[in-house]
Amino acid sequence: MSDLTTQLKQQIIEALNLEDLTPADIADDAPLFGDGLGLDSIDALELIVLLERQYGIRLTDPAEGKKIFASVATMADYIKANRTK
Amino acid sequence: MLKSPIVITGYGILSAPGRGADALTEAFKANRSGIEPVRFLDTALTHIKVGEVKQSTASLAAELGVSDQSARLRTVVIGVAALHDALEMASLPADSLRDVDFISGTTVGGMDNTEKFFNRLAACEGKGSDADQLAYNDCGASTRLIATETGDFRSISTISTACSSAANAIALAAEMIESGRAECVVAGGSESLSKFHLNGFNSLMILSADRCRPFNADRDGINLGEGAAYLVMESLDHALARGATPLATLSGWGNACDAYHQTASSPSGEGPARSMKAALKRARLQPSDINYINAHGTGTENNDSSELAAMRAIFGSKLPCYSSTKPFTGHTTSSAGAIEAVVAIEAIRKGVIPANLGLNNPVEPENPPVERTVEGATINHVLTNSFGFGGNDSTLIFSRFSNNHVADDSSAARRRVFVDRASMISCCGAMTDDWLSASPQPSAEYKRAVEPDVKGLLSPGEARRMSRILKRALASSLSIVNKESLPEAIITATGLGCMENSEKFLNELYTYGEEMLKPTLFMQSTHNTIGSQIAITLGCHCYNTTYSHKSISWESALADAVNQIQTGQINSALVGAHDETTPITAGASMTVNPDSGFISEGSVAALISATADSSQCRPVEIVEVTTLYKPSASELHNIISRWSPDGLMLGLTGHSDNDSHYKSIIDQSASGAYILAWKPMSGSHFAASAQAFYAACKFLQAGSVAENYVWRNGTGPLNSILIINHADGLEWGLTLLAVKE
Repeated sequence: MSDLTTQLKQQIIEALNLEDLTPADIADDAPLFGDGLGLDSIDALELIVLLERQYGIRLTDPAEGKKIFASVATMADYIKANRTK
Repeated sequence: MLKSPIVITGYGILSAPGRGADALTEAFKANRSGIEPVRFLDTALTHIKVGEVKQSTASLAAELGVSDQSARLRTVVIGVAALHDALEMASLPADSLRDVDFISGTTVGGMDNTEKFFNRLAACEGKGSDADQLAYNDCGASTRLIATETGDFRSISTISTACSSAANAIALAAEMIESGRAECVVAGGSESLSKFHLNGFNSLMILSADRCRPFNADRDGINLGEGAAYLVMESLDHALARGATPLATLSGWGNACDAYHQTASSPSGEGPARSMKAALKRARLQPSDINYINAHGTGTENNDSSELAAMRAIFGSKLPCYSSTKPFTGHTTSSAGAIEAVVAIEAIRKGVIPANLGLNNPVEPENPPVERTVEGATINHVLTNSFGFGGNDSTLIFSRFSNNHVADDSSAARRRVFVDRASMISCCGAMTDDWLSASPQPSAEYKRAVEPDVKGLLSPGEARRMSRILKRALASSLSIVNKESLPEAIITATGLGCMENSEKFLNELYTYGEEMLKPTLFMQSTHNTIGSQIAITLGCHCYNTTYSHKSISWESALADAVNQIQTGQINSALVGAHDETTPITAGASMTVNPDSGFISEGSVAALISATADSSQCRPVEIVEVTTLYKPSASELHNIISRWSPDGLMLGLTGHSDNDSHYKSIIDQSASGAYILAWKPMSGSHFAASAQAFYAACKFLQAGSVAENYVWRNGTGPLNSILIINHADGLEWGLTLLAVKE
């Protein structure tokens, strides 16, 4: 597990108030949306805030988030390729 | 038996296309939209378009000649313009309002003012020189200022259900007239743009940079707007007796909760379908009777699909002609229900069906909305929808005036109303009896409510986003109702709503600027977040509304519930009072009003019902609930002497400015009557009188009082208690409870 992945999981837990989870509870490739963690469209927007504040990545269309937020792994890949901080 | 229809005898409106209904109708005819780039709101979000009232607050305030304080609040100034126009059209001079009630809907309230100095206030925990301005943040403060600029109404109240607030204000006015509690009510709403909610909607990523295009396949979001509209509503008998001209009839109204999500509408349109169905039933109309639907039509994909699904469920595959007028006005949120009520009345009176401006590629080609404004149409019935956050959905139906009295199938005898169960979370404890033996608290302190344990009541997934007030509201409510035995109405009172989240969102605004901010905070910052969250958690689609009017929020909510049970519309209601105080709001309160006792917060939930719980040996009946604005001493005394209660429970704090309002009541009370004080135990917050209600119920059930509540001891049995409460000596709430005979 890379440092970025672990850090990202911790940031997701904090941003979405998933207080009963630890990074170990979230598998890298498990779907974030759908049945998995019970997340909804507001959580997707929170993840957009997270990308902007933590990694300097700005998404302007919420539809872009669908692919990026498929799993922690896809999110980490996107961050590696696009981060400005 | 026949009853008098509810007629509209005047209306005033100020919105982006201009002041007065003619300005709006002319805009429809000329396809002239009021949507433009931001001019008057100080915001960095200049790329989006809005429906602003095209006048600065200062200029409009000067034109209207309002006080300096009123001139600080755009919601108030816009509201005053529309209200004065409505009263003038109805020929109701300012000195004739003593028998007229005023109900206004708002959610922004004084936020456009608060957001200008909040960072300075936050830096000194509310105690700086700006403290007095925070006293104008709450929704009720705006309504009170609008009333102050107008005249002495009999009562004033505020409804805050986000984007359906004004529709619910109009529906409440109709209920009051229909049940005989009022003859004439002025109802509507006022809302100004604020940086707070503009950035809130920005955080939901649903603001459009172009003019909004509801029901168009390429729609990409909403334009926020601002404005106000008020209707003068009265029974036909009352209107004719005073020589007023009936202009239209309000024939139906419906309210339901989607109970799906705080910001998204359900794909099936369950809530909207239920509210439309309820309104049609009330109006005794068939779907085919509706000539025009003024849709909620905000311009989001989610609203389009949900509202269209609901319309199909009610009207079938061929919809009546419909349009959204938001491309003309913008989405004026809490005032939208009143602004679109004016659209409906104008359509009936002038035969103008407004276009769904900018239509080029309808989402439903087989059922497109009105493409071009139609003139010369014969319109008899118009249905108008307003949907709010949390799925607070409301529908109004306006009809061409006809002089026919309608059949009254409500039972003539009013049913009695009982307190079935209640629970309380206060500074003394969470759903415990610790309050009975608590010591009075010193003033100039701020005490939080005890936090309840929500494990077992809420899953971690349900609880993860909830702020303190939501957890408290859910814990107190779920201890007395559950999914297996749902209430038939959920009615909430809150003075400040979700204040902690509002402050956090303001803090985000100051910390990060007008960037993408945390949507969860905004989504759970409205006053109706509380009541709709209860409905979402319970899966309860019933009537759902929220009152937010200073210290009479609770009495306003209770009166609504009691009326609906008395008139046989429902058998039970969950009535809740939930307030959240923060260090900043507490600091400001103590600075501005050192007389109010210690500052607190709390939750009370009560299930009230048409049947007395047979397991209780002394069931408590709610005999009467009344709210008054600026009553004379003799009016208060007449009520008290008519009811002659065994005990009086008063909002005494031990501080002279506050207590002087109760002095003559105590002086003239029967010598053996118990005088009880709840605030030394509950502390002060807007909905604190609900804690008096809770305690009074317990005292009546026991037939005796707790020593810590006694201000002056009484003699004799305790079978009735009158709770009296005032807000700055202006609004008064009176609740008479008695042991069932």
